[in-house]
Amino acid sequence: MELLEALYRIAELNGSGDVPDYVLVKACNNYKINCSYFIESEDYDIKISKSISDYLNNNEPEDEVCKAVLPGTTKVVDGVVYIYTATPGAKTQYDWRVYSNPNSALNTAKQTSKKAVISQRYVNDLFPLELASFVNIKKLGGSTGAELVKDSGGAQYVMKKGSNTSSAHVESEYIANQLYEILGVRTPDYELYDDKGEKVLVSKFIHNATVVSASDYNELSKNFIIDAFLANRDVYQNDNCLKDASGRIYRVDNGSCLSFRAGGSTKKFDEDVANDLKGMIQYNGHVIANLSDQDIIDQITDLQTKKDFTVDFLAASGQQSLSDIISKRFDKLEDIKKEYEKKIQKKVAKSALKNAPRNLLPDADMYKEFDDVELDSIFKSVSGSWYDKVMNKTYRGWELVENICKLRGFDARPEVVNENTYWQEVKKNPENQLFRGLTKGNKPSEEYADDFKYDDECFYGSVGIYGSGIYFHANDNSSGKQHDKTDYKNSRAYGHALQYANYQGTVIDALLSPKAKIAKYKDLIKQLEAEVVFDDSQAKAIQSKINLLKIDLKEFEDEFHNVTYNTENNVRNAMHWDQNSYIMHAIEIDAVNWGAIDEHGNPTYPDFNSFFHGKIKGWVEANGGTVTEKAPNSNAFILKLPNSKQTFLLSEYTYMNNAIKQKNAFTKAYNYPVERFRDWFVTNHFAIINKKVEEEVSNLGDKITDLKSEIMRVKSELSDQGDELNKVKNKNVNPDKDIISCCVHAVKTGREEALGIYAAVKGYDAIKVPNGNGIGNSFIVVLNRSKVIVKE
Amino acid sequence: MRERLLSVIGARAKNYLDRKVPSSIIPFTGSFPLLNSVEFEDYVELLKTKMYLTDLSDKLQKITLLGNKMALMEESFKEYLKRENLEFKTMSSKEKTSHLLVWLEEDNLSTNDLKIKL
Repeated sequence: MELLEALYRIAELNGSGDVPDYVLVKACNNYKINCSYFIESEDYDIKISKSISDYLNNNEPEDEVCKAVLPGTTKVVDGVVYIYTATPGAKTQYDWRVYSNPNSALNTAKQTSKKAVISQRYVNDLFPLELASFVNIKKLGGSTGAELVKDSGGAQYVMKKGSNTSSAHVESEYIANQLYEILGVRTPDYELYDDKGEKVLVSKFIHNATVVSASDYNELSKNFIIDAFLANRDVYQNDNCLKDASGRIYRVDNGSCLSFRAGGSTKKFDEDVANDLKGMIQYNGHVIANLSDQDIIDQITDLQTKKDFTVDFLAASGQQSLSDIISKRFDKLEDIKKEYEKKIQKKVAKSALKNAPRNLLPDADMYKEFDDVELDSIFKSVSGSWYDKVMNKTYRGWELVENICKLRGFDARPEVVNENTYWQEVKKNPENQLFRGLTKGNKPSEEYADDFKYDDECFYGSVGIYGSGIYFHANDNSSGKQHDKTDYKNSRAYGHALQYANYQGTVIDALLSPKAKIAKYKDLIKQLEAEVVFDDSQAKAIQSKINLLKIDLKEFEDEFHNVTYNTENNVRNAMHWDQNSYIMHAIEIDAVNWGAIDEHGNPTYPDFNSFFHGKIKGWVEANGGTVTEKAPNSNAFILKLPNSKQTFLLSEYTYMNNAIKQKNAFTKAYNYPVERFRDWFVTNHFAIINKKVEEEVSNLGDKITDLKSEIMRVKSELSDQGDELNKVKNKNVNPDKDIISCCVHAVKTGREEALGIYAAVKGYDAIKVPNGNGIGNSFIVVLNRSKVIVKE
Repeated sequence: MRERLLSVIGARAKNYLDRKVPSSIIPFTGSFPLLNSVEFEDYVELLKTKMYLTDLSDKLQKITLLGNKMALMEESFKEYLKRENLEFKTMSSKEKTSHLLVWLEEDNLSTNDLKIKL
């Protein structure tokens, strides 16, 4: 009885304006959990419905009903939230009134009228009704001034206020989140508030989230077309996509969608979706590396099926002009799709040049030694500093190496042979078999292959860490096998070439002439280093210091990792963290189709017995929690966790009755009590343990501080020693003096592209790099195209 | 796949990682160099033994992507200058800024993209 008296006392204080509504609602929930004889039931629900119906229709309230309904009970009717509380001036001491929530966007608009307008704007039931109930934890930084906040139950959220950029920017991100959600792309749950005209976006904080890395790119790229469609240009930058502990990816920061940039400035957002797509392809090749043209077509086709409800959704949300733009962007998708379809169907015309004779210089010219005047002229053929000379590229690739190769006649066309001749030649020199993978660029990959075979103009490559030149994979790791035309495609080298061709481009089947002069990569470096003789004892001494410092750094970093890792593990073990249930509860709750119904219109989601006893109970117990039935045969259970006093009540009745909700007609259904359970479970267990881990790690105090400062000190010393080493290494070399000095300096400072220049100066046809990039086969960096035999 | 091979993306990125001024034509801002000389030397050696971007630590993956972005932007800006028949070195500061902004807009970029943040 004391509990009930306390609840009524809080209701009276609420009625007099001394206690806010959300405190009364919390008190009501506490009462329901802790009162041993109160069980939610159909009878109770009927009384609530009757009570509010009487209120809305101005009927005389019934005494029995009034006594039954608990103060602090809330009910949503036509989108308006009502609360049952002490109500001075009403017909009875307790009655309904509109929930007092001056900050909610929805309720502000609706408090003046009981007749709600049905709109696609919605109250997200999983969020607090009042902005005032959030408490700031800390600032998260960033251009949008995001803050970490928590609600009265301790659940954490990320808050972005319009005053940091603009309300329009915040509202745009809210709309973008809605669009992502209805298009089936995961974002953290969110709600928009209105704080006296300032828009505030609140999103659920994802605990233990990590920034996505390269291993997540395939997953990320599955929604590439949607990202481009919403013009979310920064989506793959910084930490705008996060991965939760279950490995699911969330678009968390969508402020660069639609007509805004990430920082809040505006950008053009019109029907030209092709322009957004082009820009996103240009700078996100690493993310979409595995998407084929067909994948792009498939993603577009899938997105097109969502046109009607996306456009309708925006129109129904009062976003008519955005709805019009989005509608046009959907229409433009068809053009993009057609372009991709054309690319797939396009047959490349064979080059007319293929029958023209090759212009080969005699060996005496090809391999002659350049005199100083010629070398000087070559060196000056590219303007700028030594760095510019090594790195400068034209549309034909590296410029300086091209100039040298042209002088030698290395740019002459390769020998193109028919298939029989090719395989005969391969049989004679199997280890010289080469493959080069090509992808489409400004033209289809087949045309690039034809250019290599038939065009007098030679492309000399633009990336490579073993020297500038034309990169091939040598089929030299197959021990005499897989060189035959029936199985060469199974070779490692061919497989690697296919990767370079993105699996859908073209692979050139070639062979390096047995007469080619090949320089081995390491020998070439030695040869180059011997060009400048100097005393390297000082360099060796510094290098020894660097090696010792590297050992120190590794030890400090390992120790730092061990200390924090062990502390985290110890805390988690002591506080009953069960990693399996942490991952699985989120996956399994989301895996249920809560909105599914059978042919009779009855819900088909799992019954209470299977989901509660089969899943939820196990998750709670695995984390050291307890599950107790509130009263015998009540099928209402009180859940407790070991590190929190906050209990949770889940009954079969609430799980099965009026439990299924939807944010709006276009989004996925969810089970309200199960979602509340999820929040409670994370907030009152995993988040508490995370906080404790943070505290314990920071309590390591001196140990951590000392290790951090040691790491900083060693890093700084390493940096100084590295600079010193470079000075010593290069003190005898003026890279701008001549082409050899340029190459020596460039290679010593990590610009091994210059090796191609040096090899060409010395008259090598190619550089062989055994096990390049650790891939198992050699790279052959071709300088003399005329020494390549290519299959027709 | 090509754009996740270190022989492509790493090779493109590396020349922007150890320089105090990563580009002579684009005014990138941030804390440069992204790698000091010893770290850079280790990075280049790492490129020679690893095949994929995923073979790098998360931090080096991020650094590689930043270098790659700067490389792609510089390449694109050079193409723009060439197409417009412009000689960057002889332009006034005002002209440089003006063309930089035009190119940024053309490439769907903003001045925010000039901030290189680790």
